[in-house]
Amino acid sequence: MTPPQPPKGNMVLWDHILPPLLDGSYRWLTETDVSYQIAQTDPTQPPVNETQNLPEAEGYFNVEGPRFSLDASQIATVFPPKNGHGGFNESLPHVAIFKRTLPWERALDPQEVLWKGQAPPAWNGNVPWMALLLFEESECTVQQKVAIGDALPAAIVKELAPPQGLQVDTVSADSTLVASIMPSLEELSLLAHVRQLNVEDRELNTAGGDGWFSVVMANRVPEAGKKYVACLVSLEERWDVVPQQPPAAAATIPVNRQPVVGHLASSQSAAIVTQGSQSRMPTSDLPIFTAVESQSLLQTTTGSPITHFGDILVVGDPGRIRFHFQTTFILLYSWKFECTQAGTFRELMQGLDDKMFGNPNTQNKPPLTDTGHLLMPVVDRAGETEVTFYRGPLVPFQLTRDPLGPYHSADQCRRGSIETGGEDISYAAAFECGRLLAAADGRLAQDIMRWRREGYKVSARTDSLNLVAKAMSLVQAPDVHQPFAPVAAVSAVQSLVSPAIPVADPYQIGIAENAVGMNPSVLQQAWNLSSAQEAIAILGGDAGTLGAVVTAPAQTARPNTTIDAVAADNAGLSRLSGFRAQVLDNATATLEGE
Amino acid sequence: MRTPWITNSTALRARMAKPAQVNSTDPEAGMPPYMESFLAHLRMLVGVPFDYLVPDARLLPDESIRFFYLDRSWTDRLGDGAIAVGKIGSRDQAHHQANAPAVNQQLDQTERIVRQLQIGKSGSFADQKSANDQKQSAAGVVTGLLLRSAAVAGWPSMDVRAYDQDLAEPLDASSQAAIEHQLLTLRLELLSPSVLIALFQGIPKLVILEEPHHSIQFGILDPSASGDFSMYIRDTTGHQIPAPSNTPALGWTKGNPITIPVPVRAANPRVLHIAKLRDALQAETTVATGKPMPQQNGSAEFALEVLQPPWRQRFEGTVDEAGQGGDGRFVGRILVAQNVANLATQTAYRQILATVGSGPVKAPAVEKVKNGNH
Repeated sequence: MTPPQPPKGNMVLWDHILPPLLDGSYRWLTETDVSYQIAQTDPTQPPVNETQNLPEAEGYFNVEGPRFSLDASQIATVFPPKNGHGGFNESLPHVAIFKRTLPWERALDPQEVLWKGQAPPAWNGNVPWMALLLFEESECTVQQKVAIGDALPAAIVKELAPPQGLQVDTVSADSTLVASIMPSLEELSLLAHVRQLNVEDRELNTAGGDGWFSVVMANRVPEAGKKYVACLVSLEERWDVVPQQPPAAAATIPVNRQPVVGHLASSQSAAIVTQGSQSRMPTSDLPIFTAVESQSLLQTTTGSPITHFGDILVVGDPGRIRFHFQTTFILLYSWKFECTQAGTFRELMQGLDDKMFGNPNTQNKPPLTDTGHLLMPVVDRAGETEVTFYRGPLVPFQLTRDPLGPYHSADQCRRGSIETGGEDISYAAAFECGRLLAAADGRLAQDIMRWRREGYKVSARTDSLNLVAKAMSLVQAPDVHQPFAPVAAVSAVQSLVSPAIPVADPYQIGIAENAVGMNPSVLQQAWNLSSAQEAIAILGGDAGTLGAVVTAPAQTARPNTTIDAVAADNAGLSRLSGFRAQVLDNATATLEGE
Repeated sequence: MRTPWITNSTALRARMAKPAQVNSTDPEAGMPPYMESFLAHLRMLVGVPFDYLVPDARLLPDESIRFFYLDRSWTDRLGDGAIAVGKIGSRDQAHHQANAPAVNQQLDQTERIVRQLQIGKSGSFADQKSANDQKQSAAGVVTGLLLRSAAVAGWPSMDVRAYDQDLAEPLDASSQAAIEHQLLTLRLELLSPSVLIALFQGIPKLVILEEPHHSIQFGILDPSASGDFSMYIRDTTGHQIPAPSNTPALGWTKGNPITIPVPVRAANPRVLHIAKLRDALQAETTVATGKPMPQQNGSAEFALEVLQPPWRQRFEGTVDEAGQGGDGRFVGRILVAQNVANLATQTAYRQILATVGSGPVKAPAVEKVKNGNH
């Protein structure tokens, strides 16, 4: 289960995140255990047990992960920054890796050689298989693409069982130096942990969006004025160099330390003997082993490397031979930095020059107006150079948004300035920039075309619907968002089943009435008569001629009746039958007549 | 005479008989998703060449930070230009003209999810858009910053936050008060290895740049640069512990953060003796300081002690109006025009004319100047 993201601005630290399976080769085996009982026909007999197992199946699979190299894209960040210069003399270098389980995906000492049969302590599960070693640039040799057999002791290579012909990057350094730096098992476990952060406020990064990082830190503090190489090395199967217990601490914190010199002396040969006794050193590759113990051969002068045997670099100058014992590691990742006096995040931030964008009061003043426009010479379409004004989208004060839009061409966006006669090409440039960006994107051009086509279709449909609605006098206004067929169907059915709309003037009396000779008021006006009555009288009519209001005769009141009562009225029924027969006869006569 | 390839009635039927109607949730201006997303990204200046943003290198010198407002008109023109692709006739123009208000309104809304899309988490464009469209609000002011510094390359993924209030330290970014005042980050991206751009919705009063948390450095103290290392001890929340009393034997000065010496290896005095240091830190947990220290039982607790908290750089309410100020209208060779446009100048001018007695002054020429950009 993934723990919830920490709150904004917070960070959660974890000792380690162990993968469910370490990297390696695995065998899986499937067995079934199926048994069943068969009842006997004779109920007194006990049932018989039968088993029917499927055949066993087995297979092999590998869990793979970075082993002999680490892709640079896996590195989230390093500190001190790569090729950085700064005052890092109070910081411990570290590397953050995107994969949170990476440092624990392999076992450093799977055979538990280091524990020599004792049970390892609880923290042993937390020991990573990698370490970050910090070397001065002159202390180590980084080599690329070396055959693994040439680089590491044969015994280690045998245990690692790398693929044939594998080439690795390596880093080699003086064995004494390595021994003085190399963390012990428990220190290794303390130097690696996992960080979980909130991802919301971070700038975009190509990978590592989940907020988890594994971090491996170094134990050596850089010194001002020196150049360093930080090396993330693989320690898989390197029980030959990782001590079980850390070496002694300085008894007290020395106040005045002199540079340590001449530490190559007797401890050097002692270390060799101890390592040799583990029978893990490639002693057979060393033809002049006895010479190593001979102090007379050890010289403090430096010479050029002659050759090397496995881990041992032979340095010689005329007549003398000197042995440097080298320890070589598989190099997973490395970066360089220089420790100078200044340049931490804090110092950089405090040193920032902060202003509003387009402030002309900076060093080497750019040719700016106080509106943030930059004077810019352009060649116009007549081929003449003119000085124009340009201002990008980043402006030093709040602007109102131009309400006149949209613009359809760049020329439409050009502006002139009355005071100077200069031309403002800011928005024209923006228009062209947008046009070029869009034209460079084929998919966008297609989408814009589709958008237009869709718009035209909808518009055509709306027009058609409106025309049809007008012609059909639809009962419901058509809506482009609604299916049209049901609306049309409902309107058609409705005009079939319901009677025609009552005609306003069925006998067109209105027309006749408005004829000049029939209209008393027109007559009165034309002949300049004194009253309407006179005109009516002349026209020979009274109000009733043109249809006075006729009162309907009063309906005879009838009592409420029932169906039974109606059915019992034989006289009425026969009268109705008579009427029906008459109507049918009339219809027949009419149809035949046509 | 050639017969027409389509008759009126066929055309009418074709127009009417679209089986799928316009989706009722689509306004007529509904853009295809890719187009909408592209234009929203353009609004946030994604893909706009750097020279358009910073036309002169002197506008953004090395080791500088520049704050700005985003010119909405500029980004609108950018969108107009993009839509102008393939615009060949008056029909296309009319279509754009009619749809532009709806398009702009939709983009004002959609531009807010550009960052989520860039981060590439939490759902497809369609999901994000429908969620975002629920929260309609008018387009606000967009502001931002450009940072060109070695810190951008050296400390990738730094935290950038903006607030509409000047919140005091100690500021807990996860507290309710801080979240309420935080401005929406619309864009936060590197334009080049050493240039960072950030856009915020609203006008910030406080902008914070914080050292990225995953590269928080492990630090120790070496005040005399002599290899005489010491370090602060920290409580379970990573804060330094102030000494509760004056105890010279322990090196305590009341109120100052407690430090302890750091053991080193005998064989190499610049290599810390991590195991001994862990033991020393564990021993320190038994000292009564008033603040609990974590028990040293793993690498996380150890890391907590040696971490240096990230540096938080605050930029607070600036009054820098970049040069002469003004309302941003384009007034070319400025000083004269600006003085004429100044209300005080106008008043003085009228007074002089009034005393001369040549009648009231009508329609001062400055009115034209003000509207000179249209």
